[in-house]
Amino acid sequence: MTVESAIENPEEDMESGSSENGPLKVTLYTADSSLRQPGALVREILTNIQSGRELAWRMFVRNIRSLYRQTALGLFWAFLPPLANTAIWVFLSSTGVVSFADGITVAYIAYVLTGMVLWQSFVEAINMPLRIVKSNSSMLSKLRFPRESILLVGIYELIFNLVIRSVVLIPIVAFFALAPVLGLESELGQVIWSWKTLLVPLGAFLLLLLGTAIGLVILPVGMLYHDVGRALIIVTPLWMLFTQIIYPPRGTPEEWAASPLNWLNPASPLLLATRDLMVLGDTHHWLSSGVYALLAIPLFCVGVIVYRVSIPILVERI
Amino acid sequence: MSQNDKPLIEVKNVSKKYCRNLKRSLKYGLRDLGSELMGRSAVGRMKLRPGEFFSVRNVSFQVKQGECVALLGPNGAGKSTLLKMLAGLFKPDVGRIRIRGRMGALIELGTGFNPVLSGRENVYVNGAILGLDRAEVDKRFDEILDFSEVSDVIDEPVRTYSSGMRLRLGFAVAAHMRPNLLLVDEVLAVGDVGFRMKCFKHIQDQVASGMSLIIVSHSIGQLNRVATRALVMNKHQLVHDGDFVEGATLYEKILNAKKEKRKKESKDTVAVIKEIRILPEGDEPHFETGQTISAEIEVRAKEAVKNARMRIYIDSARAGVLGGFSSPHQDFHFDINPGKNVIGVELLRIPLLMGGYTLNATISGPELVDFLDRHYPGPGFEIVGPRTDSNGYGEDGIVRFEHRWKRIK
Repeated sequence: MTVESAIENPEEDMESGSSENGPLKVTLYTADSSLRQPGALVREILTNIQSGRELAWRMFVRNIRSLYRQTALGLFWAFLPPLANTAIWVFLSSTGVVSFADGITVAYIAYVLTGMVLWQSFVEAINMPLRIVKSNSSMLSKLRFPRESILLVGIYELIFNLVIRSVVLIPIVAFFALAPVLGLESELGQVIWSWKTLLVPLGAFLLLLLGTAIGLVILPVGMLYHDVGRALIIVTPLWMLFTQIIYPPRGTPEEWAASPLNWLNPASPLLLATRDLMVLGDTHHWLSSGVYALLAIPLFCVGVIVYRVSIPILVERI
Repeated sequence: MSQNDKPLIEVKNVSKKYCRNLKRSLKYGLRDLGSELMGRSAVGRMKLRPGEFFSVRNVSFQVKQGECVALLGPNGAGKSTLLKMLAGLFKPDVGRIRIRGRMGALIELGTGFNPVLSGRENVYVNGAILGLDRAEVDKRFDEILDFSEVSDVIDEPVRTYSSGMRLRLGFAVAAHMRPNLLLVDEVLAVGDVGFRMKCFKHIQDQVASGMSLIIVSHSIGQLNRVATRALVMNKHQLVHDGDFVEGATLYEKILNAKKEKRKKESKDTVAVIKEIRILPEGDEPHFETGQTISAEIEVRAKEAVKNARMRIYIDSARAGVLGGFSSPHQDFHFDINPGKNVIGVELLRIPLLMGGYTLNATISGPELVDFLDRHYPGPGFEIVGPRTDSNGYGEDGIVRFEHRWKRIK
């Protein structure tokens, strides 16, 4: 594996030589911003992702193993939080204390649980870059390794958590979807699936990508000033209420689309659309979620470049 | 220039700024990030902002293949910053660094070890962090295990290991990377002597097979084994680039000069050591092993002291106090008179080898408790020759041993 530099610029070249180790790779460190050679920077990031994959996988396996090795319930802890949250809202709703379920035509349990799983994944994605750089800061400040690999570890963990939660979510939603077919009419309502439901994994993945992209862009400031991390903790629950996870969007679809706030909330369109597909088989949010889907990928790329360029400066101050 | 003559490391006019004030440092960090993300050039980085100073200033040097260079300097001289720039952890503010070949850095051992996982699992993860893929670790696993001497507990969680075991495992993995260039920062200062020797032996073998090495350590005695050249940093600048023993001597001199004057003028004291002069005065005191060193100790007294005692002792920055002697030992008895007194002493056939030393003195009255004054650190002197040899063909270490060989059978 070639150990690339976070900050080298494209003057690097392979020299043909008689050294016993074959041609020696040349690495150049200068004070200039690596963004001055964007082509080289991008090439560099791609090679690093390539060469850092094995490392990322090893670290991912290490993290997962060590996370659950000292627990009796093991992986159960991965899907407990959304289940517990859902239980709270379903309980509150069933007692009539709050009437969030009004206007929801499908099973409230499936509706809230899907929303919770997606929301939690999105929040994890936003927090991931900051978390992963902080937890690896001693390694970052002492060892040279492809910086992209810890980002990959973070993404693997996000996907892993989503998959684990899906293991609980899908059977529950499927029960409500298949109950009428099997003649098991339930008082709790039902869920409608269509071929469009197959788009759910894509929606969830784009949501993760968007969250990660936001997390990457705020990472440099968040690493320098801990205010960012603290603010996120406070903002997150409010944001969840605002994103309409536990109650259905108010008003008609046209009214929803007419509100700029709904458009400006990055969590909202993709999340609502994905949930609709999961429990309703269709959605009103094609346009807004489409816009965010198209934004997610370039924003993620920008985020990776921000990450890459800022790491050396952050390492100085770790 | 043939391929092998080309330097593996080329450092040119490298400077790095640092700011100790946290709030300011964060503000500057934010600005630096901004200009980095705007893709600005580094022109103008040479200017210091309020609160900043150069932690590395205008350093240039080269390292060729197979060279083994010791990086010396007192704490805070900028060694670690320089090493981290070489390792590519962060970039210079001014200047450029060019590296040819695969670089390994031992800045801390066992970084990335997870305490809950077994030694075996950690070897693979640590290998991957250092740049070895699974096949490479597989191939070297037995060697690594053998080197680390922890084979019987390799499947136990690392948190059950002693710190020495962790260190051994960390070094064993790192030592099997086979880089073209290795940077070592102080990591060999710990661990038991036997293992340390093994590490040095391993490094020596790798240097012999063409690896280049830059090693930072405060124990010059150890570096002597591997380094042929020294870079000495003082106050953020490179002050020496060349011969190891000369560099080590300079480093000791810097350390001696840095030692805080512990002398305090006690009011009750009736006599103080005003000055110690190594003769001849004026020049930097340079001697060769075996020469005689003369010194004068000037004592100022308010009152007379009958039957005074003086003790002289030699201190080495490398090894601490080497030894001393006092005036009654040779039945030299003297009285101190009010005013100025000067006592002379000769160190005959000085048995010290190349290095920097200080000459120190205390003055006391006749009884054990009659301590009057200490002059420490006293003036430094250097032994500049003959050259020592740590490869087993000459004299080495600190002290010359008079000796004789003969064949018995």
